[in-house]
Order: sequence, then C-alpha cells, then structure tokens
Amino acid sequence: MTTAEDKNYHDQYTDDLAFEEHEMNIWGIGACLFVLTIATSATLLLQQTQFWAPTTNALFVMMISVCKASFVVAFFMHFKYERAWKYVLCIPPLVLAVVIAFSLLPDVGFDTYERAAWK
Amino acid sequence: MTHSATVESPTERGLPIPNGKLAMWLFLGTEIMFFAGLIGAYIVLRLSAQNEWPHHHEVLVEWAGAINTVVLICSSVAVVIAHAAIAHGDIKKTMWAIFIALGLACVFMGIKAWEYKQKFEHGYLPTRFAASPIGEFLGYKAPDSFAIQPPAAPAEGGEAPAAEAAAQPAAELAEHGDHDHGHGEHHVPKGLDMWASTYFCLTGFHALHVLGGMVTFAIILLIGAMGKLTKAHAGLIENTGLYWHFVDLVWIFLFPMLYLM
Repeated sequence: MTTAEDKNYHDQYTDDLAFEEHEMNIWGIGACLFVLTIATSATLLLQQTQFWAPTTNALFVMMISVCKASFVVAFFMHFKYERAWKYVLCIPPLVLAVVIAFSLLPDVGFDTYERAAWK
Repeated sequence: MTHSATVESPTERGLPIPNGKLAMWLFLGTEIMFFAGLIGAYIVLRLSAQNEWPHHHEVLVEWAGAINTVVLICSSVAVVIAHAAIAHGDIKKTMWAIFIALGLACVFMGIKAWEYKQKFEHGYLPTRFAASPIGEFLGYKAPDSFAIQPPAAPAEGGEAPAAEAAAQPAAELAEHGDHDHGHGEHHVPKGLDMWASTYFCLTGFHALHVLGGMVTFAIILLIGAMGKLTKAHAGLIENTGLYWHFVDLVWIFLFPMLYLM
C-alpha cells in the first residue's frame, strides 16, 4: 500500500468506527433511568416506617444504582455494542479499583476509629 | 547460507478503535481507580464509624440530590442525541443538544452551590479546614461555629450558664453529641467532622469533573458558533459523551451513598 492509500484506508477505517450506529431507544432508556431514580428516592418515605431496615435500604438503593449504571454503560457508552477490546481496557482498572478499596481496610478502617481525628 | 521468509503484515494493528477513543477509555480507566479510592475510603470510614455518623436527614436536603440525579440523566440523554445528530450531519440539532446539556450542567452546579452555601451557613465544615489559613481567609470561625448558642434570656444577675458551652469546641461536641434541640441550642450531630470531610471531598471532586465537562461543551459550542463544526467532529462529540456519561455514572453511586443511606 502506498502512503496515500494507507491514509485513505486509515481515514475510512476510523470514519466507519466513528459513525458506527446502533438501534437504541434513547428516550426509553432515559425513561427507565428516571423511573429508577424515583424508585430510589421513594425509599426516603419507606425509611420512616419500621419495616424498612437500614440494611434492606442499603441493599435496595445500591441494587438500583447498579441497574442504572448498567444502563448508562451498556447503552449510552455503547459498551453493549463494542467488540472484545472493551474487556482489555476495562478489566484491569476494575480489578485495581477493587484492590484499592480493600487495601484501605487496614490503614483507614481499623485504625482511624481510635484516633483523635475521628472525634 | 541465507534464509528468506515472507511475513504478512497484519491489516489492523492495535485496538480496532480510533486513537482519541482509546485515549478517552484509558483516561476513564484512571478515573475509575481515582473514584474507587475515594468511594472505598468513604465506605470504610462510614462502616467503621458505626452510629457516630450524622443521619442524612440532619445534614442534607435529599430532594436536591434527587433533582440533581435527574438533571444529570437528562444531560446524558442530550449528549447521546448530539452524537446521533452529528453522525447524520445535523449540525443545528447537535448544537441545540450540546447547549441543553451545558444548561443542565449549570443547573446541577447551581443546586450544588446552594447546598454548599447551606453547609457553610450551618458551619457543617471540617474543623481543620475551617481553622486553616484558607478557612480563616474565607471567614469561617472554627471551632466557635460549632459551639452551642447561648439561651435567648440568661437568668438575671446570675452567670450565664451557656458561657462555658459557647466555648466548647466542636471536637468535644462531636464526641459526645448534642441532643438538646428545641431549646434554642445548636445541634451538632455526632461524627460531623469526618462526615463533612468525606462529603466535601467526594462531591467537590465530582463537581470539578462536571466543570471540566462544561468547559468541553463550551468549546464545542464555540467551534459550532464559528461555523467549523462538521461531521468530522463526531469523534470529539463521542469522546465528550463518554466522559460525561462517566461523570453521570459517578453521581449515580454518590447520590444513594450520601443522601439515602
């Protein structure tokens, strides 16, 4: 391939990727996210009843948040339609993110409570 | 003796995505770890605090957080519309969608500023920040801002019993808690200092990211206003969208953790 052909190939290649389009109901997904936000906020009312324990509340709101995040990542960020490269790019930081969170346990959680900084 | 071999060069090298998109995803990877550290620290501190943590009813306006969530979701929808529009060469629609996204980002920041103002007025600040040179420069008085206010009418001829309480430092109040509401006294929830540190750290860094998105939206609008926005900018809109959806994603987790739990 000559340089010019190579450039044309590259432009065509990247253009195809940039304009890759997918069937997606934007308003439907937006409505789902809105409804899920209302459901999360409704827990403020449930928290005033004795039947809605703090642990139940935490599990419920985090579960809904994970659902909302999945919608945003899958559809708005096109994750659902991307090829296998998405795993190459996203799994390492996700693993490291979990490691970071767990590495905080001994340094922050088990020690700080005894320190004056808490008071 | 010589050897010769024909090696076919690969038709595609690297990941099958444009460089800009690859850079944005790598950047988002670092951002995931950044916010994972902050949110992880918050969870660990919160769990280890047990009951010494202010209830969200005491220190936050929950509906403001809920409205901000809806606002960010709507702005994300606007950015998706902008990306779809520019892919079809509809520049006018793209501009409108980005303009709406920018407007909604301004609404988000406005509500956040109002919330911050309330915290400042109530003295819900990290004590050490308030006592720092920056805090002093901004006019915050720690730890007096956390102290119990004296009763409206002290006993005649007697020594005002609130005088000592007025000088009581925030740290001591935060340790023992103050349950004397309804008597004209300032209620200081337990663990307020640590709560304030985590709240301002998490929401502050998120707000800085929102500000970064707003600047990018403004640049896109500027390019459009100069008549230079074309279909070739689809990659720019897509990358901006990826960043903006990530900012939305972070808030989706911050809202329940800070305002509902």
